[in-house]
Amino acid sequence: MKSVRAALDAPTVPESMPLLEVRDLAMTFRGGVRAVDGVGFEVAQGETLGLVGESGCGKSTTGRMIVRLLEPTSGTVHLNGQDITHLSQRELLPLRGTMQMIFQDPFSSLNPRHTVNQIVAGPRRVLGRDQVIELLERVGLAPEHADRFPHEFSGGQAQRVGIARALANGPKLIVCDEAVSALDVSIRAQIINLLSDLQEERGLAYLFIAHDLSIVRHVCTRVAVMYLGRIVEIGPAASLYSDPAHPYTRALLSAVPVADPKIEAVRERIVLRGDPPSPAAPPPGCSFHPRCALAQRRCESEAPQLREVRGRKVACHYAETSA
Amino acid sequence: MAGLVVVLTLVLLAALAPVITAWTGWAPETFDKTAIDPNMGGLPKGAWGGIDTEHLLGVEPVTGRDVLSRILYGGRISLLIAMLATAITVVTGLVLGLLAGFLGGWADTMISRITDLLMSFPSLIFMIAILSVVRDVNRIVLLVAVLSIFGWTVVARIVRGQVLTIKHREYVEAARVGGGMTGYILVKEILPGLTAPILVYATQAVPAYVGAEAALSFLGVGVRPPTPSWGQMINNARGWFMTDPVYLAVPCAFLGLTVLACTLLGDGLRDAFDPKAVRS
Repeated sequence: MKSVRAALDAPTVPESMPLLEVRDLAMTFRGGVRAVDGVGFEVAQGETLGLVGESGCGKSTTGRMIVRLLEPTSGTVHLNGQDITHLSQRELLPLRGTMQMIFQDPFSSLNPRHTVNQIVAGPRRVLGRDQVIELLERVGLAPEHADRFPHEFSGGQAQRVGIARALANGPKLIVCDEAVSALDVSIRAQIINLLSDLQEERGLAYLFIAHDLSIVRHVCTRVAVMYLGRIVEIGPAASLYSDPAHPYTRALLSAVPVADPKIEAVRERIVLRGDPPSPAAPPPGCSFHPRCALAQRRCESEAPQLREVRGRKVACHYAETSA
Repeated sequence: MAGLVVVLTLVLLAALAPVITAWTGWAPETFDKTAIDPNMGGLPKGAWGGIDTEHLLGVEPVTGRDVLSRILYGGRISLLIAMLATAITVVTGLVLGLLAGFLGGWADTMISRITDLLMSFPSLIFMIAILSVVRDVNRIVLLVAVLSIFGWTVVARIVRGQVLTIKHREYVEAARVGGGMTGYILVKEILPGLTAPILVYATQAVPAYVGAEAALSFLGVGVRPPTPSWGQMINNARGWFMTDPVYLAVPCAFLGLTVLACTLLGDGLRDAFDPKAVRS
């Protein structure tokens, strides 16, 4: 654990500078699919930003560009004030300790032919065996698990191995790409608790990617909602949940069931019509207008920009009226 | 397990051929006029192709050469050619398949087109043509070369396909995020996933090449006399199978046994290399 602690004690950036700063990030895949189209946000040290949206909205692509598994078509990614947008794999090496990733599928993200010890120590063997065991114990596994292979674990245990691997380098930022979506509901809560404990203990920042607003609610300080490669609403979690300003956020929130059956029976539910449009041919104007209940003539021609509405940023022409 | 035992036995027998023939006293080229009957057109004396304590697997008609000795020396040639050809095809196919699958782009296009070209070639006709045209060359080297030229394409295809699926697995991305460079990812993350299909292919390629060598020698373009080989013996025995069926049966049995044992070994290896098969 020594190296992990050492990384924490290392000189940190000035308070004013965000740990991660993403500006106008865009990714166009071959064939003209604009998976991500001008996304910008910041993640401060020790905070959790949720990134939510339907599958195919570009949230995973955004996460992969930030850890530089993909090279963005345009825009910039700054980590600790350093521009990492176009660094080569070799130049990224020193930064691999600062940002890490936890993957969606705990099994496909662990090499079936490597032992847990090999997996957690990582390609650069940053940890010795004792440190690996210490880390395994911290994430709720036993020392003897170090010599086992991934297929001998349950989904929750495998995801703990994935978390231990992400922690090995002593990171400041962890991109959690649907890190709990593949897990059973009961195990999901345990993993989320583990992630929040680790955050408190090590001052981690999370970019928490999920398709489900209910998961994000418990862990996030701020939430960004993505639709078709753009952020449609971004703001503090509390106000976004209690008073969503974008019609798409409201639709997503209304899909979250409420535990109280009395409220559940009478609450209003917004059902979105149709599928999200293809990012290869986004509709003109506001890309949400074909599915939006509030859409006016203006929405078909003029794309709304993000602007301040009730203490957060919303990309909707009628955000004020739609309360 | 049975496959492994039989394969090891065959390899050992072939390797120890000089020792065994020294012990039996009959070298592959030694004629034994006493074992054949000149009045019967050179048929071996006695039933079962002349099998007795002197010649354990009988003798060759007309010449009286010891069949056991010729089988052992023929097995040396057959197994040597098959193993060399397998080694060359696996290494070539592995390297080219890895490059094609991992690099993609123009490297993939080049390698895949060459693969397609060689695979669509009528390889048997081409082999026969080359082997019968080229004269004063070491036949063994030539056979290995010709078999390898057409053999690596299958390995390259298997490897390329596997690399394409493995390269997009999340654990490869995880290794990248963990700071793994291209060399590490190829050797430690991708290559282990290829061992099982390659070993299975290799254990099937060895008997296939034994068969191919036998076929080419049978057609008279492979190993030339006096060097013995199984295919050549089967070819010789063709003319005698009505009067001396044992002379045909012995090399056929060895060929069949080798192919069967290698196939069983391949199955066993595949199980052994599957991490999920051994649960502790």
